[in-house]
Amino acid sequence: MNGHARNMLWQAHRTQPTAMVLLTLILLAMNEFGNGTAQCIEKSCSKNLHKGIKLSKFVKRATAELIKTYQAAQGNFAEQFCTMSMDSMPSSTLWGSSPAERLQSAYIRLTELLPHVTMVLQQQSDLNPYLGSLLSDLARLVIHGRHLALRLSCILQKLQPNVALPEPAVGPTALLPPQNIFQQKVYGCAVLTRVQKLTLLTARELKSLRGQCTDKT
Amino acid sequence: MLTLFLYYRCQNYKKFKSKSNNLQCIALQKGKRVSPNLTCHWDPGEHAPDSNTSYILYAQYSYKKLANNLTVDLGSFPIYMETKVWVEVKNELGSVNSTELLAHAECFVKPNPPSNVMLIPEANFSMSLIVNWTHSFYLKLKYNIRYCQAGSSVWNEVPQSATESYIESFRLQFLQPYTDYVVQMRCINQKGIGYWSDWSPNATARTPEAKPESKSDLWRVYEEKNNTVVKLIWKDPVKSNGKILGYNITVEENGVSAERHVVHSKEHQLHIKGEKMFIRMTAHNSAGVSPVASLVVPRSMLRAGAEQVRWSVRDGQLWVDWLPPSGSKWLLRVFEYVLEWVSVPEGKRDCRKSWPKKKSPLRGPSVEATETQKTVFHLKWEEIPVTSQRGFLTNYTIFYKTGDNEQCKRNWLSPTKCYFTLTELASASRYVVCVMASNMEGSVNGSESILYTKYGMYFVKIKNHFWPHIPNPSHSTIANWSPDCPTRLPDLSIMEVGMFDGKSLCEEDKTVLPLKKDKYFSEEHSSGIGGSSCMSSPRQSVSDNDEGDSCQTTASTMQYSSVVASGYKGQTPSLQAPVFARSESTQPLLESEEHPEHLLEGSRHWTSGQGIEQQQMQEGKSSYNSLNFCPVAKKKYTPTLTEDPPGLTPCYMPQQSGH
Repeated sequence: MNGHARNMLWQAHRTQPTAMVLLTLILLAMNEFGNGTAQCIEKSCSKNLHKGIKLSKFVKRATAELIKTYQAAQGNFAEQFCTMSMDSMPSSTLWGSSPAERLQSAYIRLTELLPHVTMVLQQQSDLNPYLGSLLSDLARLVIHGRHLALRLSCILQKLQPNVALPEPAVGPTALLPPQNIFQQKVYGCAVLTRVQKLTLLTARELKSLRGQCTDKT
Repeated sequence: MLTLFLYYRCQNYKKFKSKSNNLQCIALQKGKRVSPNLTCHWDPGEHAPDSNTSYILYAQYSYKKLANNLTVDLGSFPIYMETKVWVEVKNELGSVNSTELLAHAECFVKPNPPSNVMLIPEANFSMSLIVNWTHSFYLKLKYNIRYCQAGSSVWNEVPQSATESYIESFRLQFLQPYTDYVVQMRCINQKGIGYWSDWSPNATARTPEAKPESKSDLWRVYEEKNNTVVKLIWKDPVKSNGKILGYNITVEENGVSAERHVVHSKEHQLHIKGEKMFIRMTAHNSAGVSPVASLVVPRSMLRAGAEQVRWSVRDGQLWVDWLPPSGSKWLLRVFEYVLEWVSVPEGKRDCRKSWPKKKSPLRGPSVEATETQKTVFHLKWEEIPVTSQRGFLTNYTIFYKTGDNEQCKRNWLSPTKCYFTLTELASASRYVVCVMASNMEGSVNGSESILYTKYGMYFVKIKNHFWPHIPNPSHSTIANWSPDCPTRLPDLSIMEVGMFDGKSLCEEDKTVLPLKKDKYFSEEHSSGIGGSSCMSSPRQSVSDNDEGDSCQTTASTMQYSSVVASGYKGQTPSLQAPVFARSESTQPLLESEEHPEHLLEGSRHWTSGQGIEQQQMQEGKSSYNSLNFCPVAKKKYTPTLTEDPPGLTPCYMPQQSGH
């Protein structure tokens, strides 16, 4: 894990960490997603848009609750963790001159951030594998984030059928420097905060695209 | 093989293959989220699966044999994602896929009922209650509220359009004041997709009180023989809207100043002083006062009433119809009727009874004898309860029988009389008597009673021969012993009895036993019993039966009362000094024994009693002479049996009881 510090005390007490099960699911999901086996079943642009808005709002709410859960699990000075910034992760800002371009940037940002959420899950599991709901919530965030990314890709295929989707960066988390425990705590909150902001921006962009869909279905 | 992304559409199905039918899936709420467990079930179709058939539910990899429902753990419920589900059926011959379900994942969600549902009354809002609940799901929901009055099975449902928004409270309006209401809620995805939750548990509350909306029903009842006394009766207002705490009655009579009464019962008695009274009444609860009920009560009671009052029973309901009082003046004046009825077992009014379904009586009456005589029974029985009559009684029938004789019966047609006198019975006989009650539907016998007629004269003769009567000292008078005492009587133990007050001599005997040997009533003379009974001097006596707890004595001992020299208990001694003659009997000699002619004279001291005794009186002297029978004392005498040496002629004034 890139030399990140681990809590050796918990290492001796591990039996069947739930995080491993969740990570397996996440990896499989990522694999399928990366292989393109996920299909855009819903053909309607407007319905895809509608579901995308709902899903992005859902992920935003879930992330906001997850941040509270995360802070509660970090012990002392937890509120300060989330006020510090870190540069070792993608930003949540969008770029582009058109809504479609900005939506595309949102797709890229999301696909770049989700591996960092997986990293946070791994680190938190190493720090305390019995954190319970925090780990499962982090795993769910990854899954729902993947769903949102798939939704965005389906929308973009409808809006820009002739524009190829950019491929997500390979192993973005491999470039992370080793972190101590304090840094991991700060890192985790920073990732979650950026995901929350990104999903908020995504929902806005999706809403602005409501008139863009030409299909009536 | 793993399929993570599953695509559903709630309403559109893509039928690729149709080997399994009615595939349905459901995911329940768990905490604030949807459970990752998706349970699907389907109809296996026409061909029953054999032991080698297996099913694979493709939502997430899951395998189960011979199942028609499977649950898969999706890890995280794919909210807002299209999901496709199908079942693969496989056996040794091959495999086939079921119809696919394709829908949004929310289509499978069944939320829990709304939590913390409460019904809250508000002061001063008597027709309203607030329903409160809390959201407990991450999906937005809409709600459905239904309510009813406690005890009713008819629910009123709030239009769903009123509770579509994401709210946590709602106000129920146009309710009845002071009434208990029950509320239930359920919820569903705000889009109306998926499954409705179950109804929540009941929440109950009572609306606050409001002032009565209607007036009391007020009426008057005149005393039967006095038109100046009237009783006001009333019922609570139909719309009391609360607990009635009391009533205010205002009385005005011919300009006389109004009286005011505060009453807490439902009736009130008044005296009419003038020609008529004006009554005004209100009922009040904690919220206010009812409208005024008024009544004019004239001194003279209206005589005309409704005519041709008839009743009938239809479909378990009692119908009453009538005609207005005849005469034009009543037609103009009558504007209201009062129908009065009472549950017969509780009331004493002579009102008509009715039974929706008539049957034979449930049970017959128990008969008893108020008086028994030699050949007569005076019988009575209680009227059986109305609820046991089950129809109008037509008559009672009395059955009575003695020994092996034929049973007799007596009929009469009046079911209102519960008594009868049986005559011409055999004396000294045992009778079995019972009463049968009859109505149009049948009859039923009451319980049997064993009754005995009294003994006749002959029995008394026999009885007195063997069980002589003990004289009653209260009926004796002072007498002098004749010094010529022919025989010496066997030793007898005699006893003085102290002054008694007319109680049973047996009891009196007990209280005075044993007498002290040196006790001596100076003014008394013994009545001459025992060996020295011829003595003229008084003597004291003691009884062998000092323990004396039995009224019966043996032949060798006798207890008697002393003869009082002077007026005892007001009885004046006879003017004629009685002379006693000795008899062989060990019984005390009394005046009546000495002079039989004094029997009738003595009879003036007592009155006729029971039939037997009366007969003896009536038979008079002749029968007495033939029986050497002494008249008995007063009524209700029950002679006890005491032994007497055979051959002696029993002739005693019987005591009240006992010896």
